[in-house]
Formats: sequence, C-alpha cells, structure tokens
Amino acid sequence: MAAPEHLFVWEGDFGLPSVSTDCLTVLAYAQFAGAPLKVHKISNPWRSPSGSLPALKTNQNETLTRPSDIIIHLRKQKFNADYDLSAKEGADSLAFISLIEEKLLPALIYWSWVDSKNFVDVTRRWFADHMPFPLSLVLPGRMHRYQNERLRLLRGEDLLEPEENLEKELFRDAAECMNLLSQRLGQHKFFFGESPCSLDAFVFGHLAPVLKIKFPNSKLQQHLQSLENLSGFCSNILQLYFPRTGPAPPPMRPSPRPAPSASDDGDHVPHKRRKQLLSVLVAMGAMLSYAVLTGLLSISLHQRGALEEPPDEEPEEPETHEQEHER
Amino acid sequence: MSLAAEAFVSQMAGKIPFIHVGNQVVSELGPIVQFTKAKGHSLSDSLDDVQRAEMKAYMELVNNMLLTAELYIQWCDDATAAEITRPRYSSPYSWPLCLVLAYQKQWEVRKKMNAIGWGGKSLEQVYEDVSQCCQALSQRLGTQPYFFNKQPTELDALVFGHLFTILTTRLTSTELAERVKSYSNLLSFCRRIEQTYFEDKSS
Repeated sequence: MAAPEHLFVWEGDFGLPSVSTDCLTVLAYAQFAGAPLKVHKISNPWRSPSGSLPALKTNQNETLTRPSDIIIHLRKQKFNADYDLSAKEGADSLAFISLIEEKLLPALIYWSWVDSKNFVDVTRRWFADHMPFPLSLVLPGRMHRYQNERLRLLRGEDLLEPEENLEKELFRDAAECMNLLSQRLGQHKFFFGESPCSLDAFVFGHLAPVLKIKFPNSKLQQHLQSLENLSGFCSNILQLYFPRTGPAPPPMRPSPRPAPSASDDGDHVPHKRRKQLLSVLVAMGAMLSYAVLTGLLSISLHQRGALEEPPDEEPEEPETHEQEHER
Repeated sequence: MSLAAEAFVSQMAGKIPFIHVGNQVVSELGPIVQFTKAKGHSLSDSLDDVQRAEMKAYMELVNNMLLTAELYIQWCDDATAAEITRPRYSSPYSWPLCLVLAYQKQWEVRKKMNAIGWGGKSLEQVYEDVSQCCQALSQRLGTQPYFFNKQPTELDALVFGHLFTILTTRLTSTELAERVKSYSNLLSFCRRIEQTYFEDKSS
C-alpha cells in the first residue's frame, strides 16, 4: 500500500470542512472515493507546496492544483467514485460540471470578492483574521485583485460593467443554473444513483459555501434555500461525510466557551491571546521609546543592583568622598 | 444590404453573429435564440424540464471545451498563431497597427487561458480535452438523428457550428479534424445537417 499523499487545503469555518470551493470539491471527492489522504488544513497559502490552495503533493513528487487534475490523479490510483457510471452518465457529468463552471462560478466570485459589502464585512475580514501577521496585510488585497481580474476574463469583457447590471446578470445565470441542477437532481439522494460521484463533489463544493456562509447581500443564499432538494443534498453530504465539522468551535481549543450560536462565529479568532499580548508589548515599547527619546523620562545609571558590573571601585570613590565631606 | 452597411452594423453590434431585424440588432447565439423565442419560434418547447436541463448543460460543455480549445489552438499554439491567426486578424489594418493589435489580442487570450487554468496545458492535452468532449457528445447522440431524438434543437445548431468549423478550417496540422472524424456518428450528424439545411439553397 503506497504512503498516503498530502493534501493542503484552506481551513474550515461556518460549519464547513474548508471555506474554499475548490478545496471542498477535492475533499468531497476524496471522501466519496475513499482515498486515504493526509489533509493539512492551513490558513497560509505560502506554506503549500505550490503557493496556492488546494494543492496535492503526490508520491511521485508532483504538485497538482486544479481540482480536475487532482480527481484524475486519484482515479488513476484506483480511487474512482465514477466507476459505476454508464457512458451516458459520464457524459452528463462532464456537461453539468461545465454548466456549473460557466454559469455559477462567476456569480460565486462576484458575491464573495467583488460585491463591496460582502467583501469587506465577511471575506476580507475572515482572511485577515486567519492569516499570520505580515501576510494578513498584503494577501487579502492581492487575492481581491486576482479574483476581480479572473471575473473580468471569465466574462470576456474589457471592463466590468456597472455593478447593478452585472449583479443582475450574474444572479440570473446562477439562479438558472441552480434551478437546472435542482430539476436534474429531482428527489434522488445523489445525481446518479445511490452513491455519490465527481459531479456530486463539484456541486457540493460550489453550493455548500453559498448555503453556509452568511453574507450581508444574500440573494444567492436565499435562492438556494428555496430549492429544498439542493440544500438538503448539501446538508446530507456534510452530515454523512464530514460529521465532525459543525457550528461548534473545534475541540482542540482549551478555553471552554458558552453554548455557541451562529453569531459567535465572528468572534472565533485564532491565537487571540498571543495577538493581544503582542499588541500590548508593541504599544508599551513604542510609548517608552518615545518618552525616552523626547526626554520625558530619563533613566538614572547610579543605581546599585544585581546587574551592576563587578569592578565598580571607580564609581564608588566619588561616593565615599562625598560621604566623607558630609561627615 | 451593401457590404459597407453590413460592416457598419457589425461594428455597432460589436459581436458576430448578429441578425438585423427592422430597427433591432441582436448579436450572439444566446440572445438570438431568446429573440426568436419571443417572436414565437422555439425549438426546445417540446422538451421536458430534465431534458432542457441536459440541453443547457451540453451547450455549456461545448462552450467550455470546444470554444476554449479553438481559442487556444488559434492563439496559444505558436505555429498556428504565427502562420494563420495573426496574419488573418491583422489583415484589415495597416502596418504597424496590425502588429500591435494582433499581439495585444494574443496577450489578452493568453491571460484568459491562465485565468481559467488552461495556461499550463500542452497542445496534446488540449487535443485530449477535445476528444473527451466529442466522446461525451457522441455518447449523448448515440444512434439518434439529433440530440433530442427527432427534432433539432439549439444544441444541434451549436454543435454543428463548432464541428463544421473544425472540420473545414485549414490549420497547421490536421490532428484536430482527425480526432473529430474518429467519431463516426458526429461526422454523419454534420453531413446530415449540411445536406438538409444548407445544400437545399444551392441546388
């Protein structure tokens, strides 16, 4: 049995095993196919072997980043969730995955990264809180620019249109896509039969964040919630294949918290104590150095103490002289 | 309509294909289909919900894979770009504008390929993707005359357009056309549509 390969993904939150669509797709497929992967949940993309997430480091020392490449690789390793599909079902899978990438993905990018209220209140805040210190100042902005450019290129336009029209068009396409998926799913548990396949992984990866992450501008979420079979599909997969992720904070945290409610999610900042201590130290250091440099505070060197240098005969002489004078 | 007027209208629409009806100009496949539907002519009315979902999904598959592959081969394959695409694209313009515009378009297309994850693909991988897409279409078509049995729909029009272009456009290598030809039911599908709908006019 070959050694398990390493998969690097974004951390989870909001009841999801990961906050990124591509990472969720790969995680779901690995669960469906029973692939034994060592999953590293990180919040620093620079620690991943390719600089971006998701990333799979294979046993042949290759690094794969696209979900479709990772799935093809797992299939070659005999972890194939599409084994039972007929040729026609395989073709349908491919078609529906294309539908999701053309119609739903641009709307997801817009809702998380381009809509200003959503970006500032939720997306940027989450990444800035979860990334380590110097990166949290730089990377969210860079990711924002990358996603904006990606949306523009996906739509094939020179400039993004004014926001209202763009939002309406994207919402219309996304809603149509979700309706089509809902019609195709019908009352079945999964898209093809009783066990899930790669299409289920892609649908889950794209819809679960919409279902779980609460944005101020929540048109997409409301539409998804109105399609009961699709929202039931996502919740079902979360329950069956990712049972340990829930709205409660992860069990590793030592400090006991009161019963978690949805509003607590915003307060769950990692390394809170360390960050507080660091900021207090930096502030005190800044104040002290300002005081010393401007002369508000002067430090006298005539103190006796354990830290004094042993050969202190010379400084003592004037003191003894003074003492004699006083006498 | 004279050629000059056509060119003027095409510039207004910005995109081809377009239809010009009275005062209106409608461009690109999606809007044209909607326009004709509003006028009471629709090919997909007889489909049920599940079939319509499948039709839209397959249309996106064609857009996602075939269209992107065609763009890639035209602009990202150095041999084809240099011999065929850049000269053709820059032919209406004088020098040096033609060079500038051609390279600008190439750069723009390459950026798009990177954004959708096709930047790292080799030509062989792109041919593989086209084969995969054709295989999916071939399996869906099976032995039926059209994708949804007896009547052609928007999907048939889209697939015909792309496959016919691939089969008849001269490129630096015939690999792409050969790959499409290996699916005999797709080849006969294209021939059938060409004979039924296009050769009538000329005969």
